[in-house]
Amino acid sequence: MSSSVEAITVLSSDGDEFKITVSAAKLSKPLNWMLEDVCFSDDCDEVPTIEVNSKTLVKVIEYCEKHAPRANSGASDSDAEELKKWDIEFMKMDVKDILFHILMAANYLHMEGLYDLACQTAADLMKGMTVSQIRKIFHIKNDFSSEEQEQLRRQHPGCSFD
Amino acid sequence: MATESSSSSVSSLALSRHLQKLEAMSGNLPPDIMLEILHRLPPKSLVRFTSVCKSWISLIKDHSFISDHLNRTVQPRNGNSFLLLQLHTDNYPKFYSLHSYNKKTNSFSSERFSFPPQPQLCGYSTVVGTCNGLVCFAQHSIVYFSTLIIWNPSLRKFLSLRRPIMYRSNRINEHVQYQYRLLYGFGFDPMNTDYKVIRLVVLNNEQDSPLVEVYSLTSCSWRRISVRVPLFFIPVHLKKIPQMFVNGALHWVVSRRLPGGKVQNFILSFDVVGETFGELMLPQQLNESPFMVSILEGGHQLALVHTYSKKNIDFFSIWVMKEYGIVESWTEILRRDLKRYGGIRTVLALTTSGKVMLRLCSGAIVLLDPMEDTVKPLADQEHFHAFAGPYVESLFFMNKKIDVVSY
Repeated sequence: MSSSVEAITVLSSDGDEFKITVSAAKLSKPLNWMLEDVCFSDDCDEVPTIEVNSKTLVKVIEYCEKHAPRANSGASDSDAEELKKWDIEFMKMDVKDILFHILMAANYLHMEGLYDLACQTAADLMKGMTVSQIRKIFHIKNDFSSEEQEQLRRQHPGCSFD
Repeated sequence: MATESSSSSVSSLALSRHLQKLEAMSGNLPPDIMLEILHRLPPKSLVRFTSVCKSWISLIKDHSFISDHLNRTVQPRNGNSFLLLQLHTDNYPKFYSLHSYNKKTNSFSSERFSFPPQPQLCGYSTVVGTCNGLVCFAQHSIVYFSTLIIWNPSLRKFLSLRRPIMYRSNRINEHVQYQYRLLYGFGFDPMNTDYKVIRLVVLNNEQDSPLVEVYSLTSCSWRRISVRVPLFFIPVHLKKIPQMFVNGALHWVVSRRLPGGKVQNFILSFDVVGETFGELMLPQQLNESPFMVSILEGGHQLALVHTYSKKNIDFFSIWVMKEYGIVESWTEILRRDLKRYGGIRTVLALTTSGKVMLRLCSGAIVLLDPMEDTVKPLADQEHFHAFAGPYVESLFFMNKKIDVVSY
């Protein structure tokens, strides 16, 4: 790969083109491998596809670009604090609509930091949900009989199972 | 050969069942991601979510899930700096989980736990120790058998322990004609994923080796162990000997008489996995101190609090063993005049971030920030006793049905 390249172009699963800087792409192992691959040599016009939809890829790239300076050079405590605040704002998103996609993308792209952040965000959101809300967002069928449910209630009298 | 093929088909069947279960569990998310998220949920939510579907209940109740969940919770990087605070008010103990939700300001949020409805346990019951989310407490009473309870406050479940082997009207009578003291400890055995309560009958004659029995939460029973115990005694004025579970072992500060009559303080340790005793030296300044030296709970390292007088001024000082087992690594991290902050009555605990929980003469519980030398109130009630120790939220007792009471 030529060292003069500062940004690379990738395709989303929907076929849209996205630019991502080399330093940001380094946050993902698979993207990093691609960087070292022939795909980005000067005489190659083939644009690699990333199996992530456009809506999600925008967010993933936004995350990468924000975190890249710190990941590449290390940062002061105040920067770390600022970044944490940014992460919180960044994660304010709809669970089903986008968070699940971010989770899967971070997993697929081996992005430890984003995966950790998204899992924690999902856990924090689920904490306050009712059982029926959980079933709904995960499309899980309630396969307990009413007797079994009653038994559960008896085992945990201080608990709300609704 | 036939057996081999049948066993492999069984295992592949088990595997496919396992996969089916995982798929049912995770709905629209891949199973490994779902598992990762569930590991991050607090026990209370997980108990509720056992009723989502059958695959969730079998996952959440699974032993390996419970251990993994705990391992994750106790990792310091997760910032779980919980303390359990027990206050005695109106003759009845009240329990709070205090957790620092903001590492920077170290302000605490608190949550009240309802106490097990156990009539024997009101009054003067004291915490033996806390370990990985379970609390062991005993009613130290003047009668010779004390009720012992292991409690998971987060799950609202508790277990009353069976009667120990050695108690007044039984075997202890055969062995012992002397007065004795009881020393308790509560720790976790990671090798066998078991919690153990250790009970020492310490004879006041200072000649016979203490009698030792161990309770295992897995077997729900006591057993005597014959093991060498260094000779020691418990000073008469001490009602309770605080313990600390660190580095896989329990620790207490006790005393022994050296030839010539001098009294030496030292740390008695008990390896919870190997069930052997050991000893650790105190910092030199505390070795022969006639004043109170005690274990101080709450931090990641073995710590001591020394309350002493010098030139008619009373002080407390806190010592930390920076490297476990290395006597030279004892470091005094803090010293204060006991008249400070309106008068200090007891040093209750250290927090993982190095703050100190104090009980003042006014009855208030405060958090001292040694760097800024400020105190911040945590609780302000009338109480005659307080305990603080490390605490995490755990799922233990989730599976156990026999003898465990839910309330």
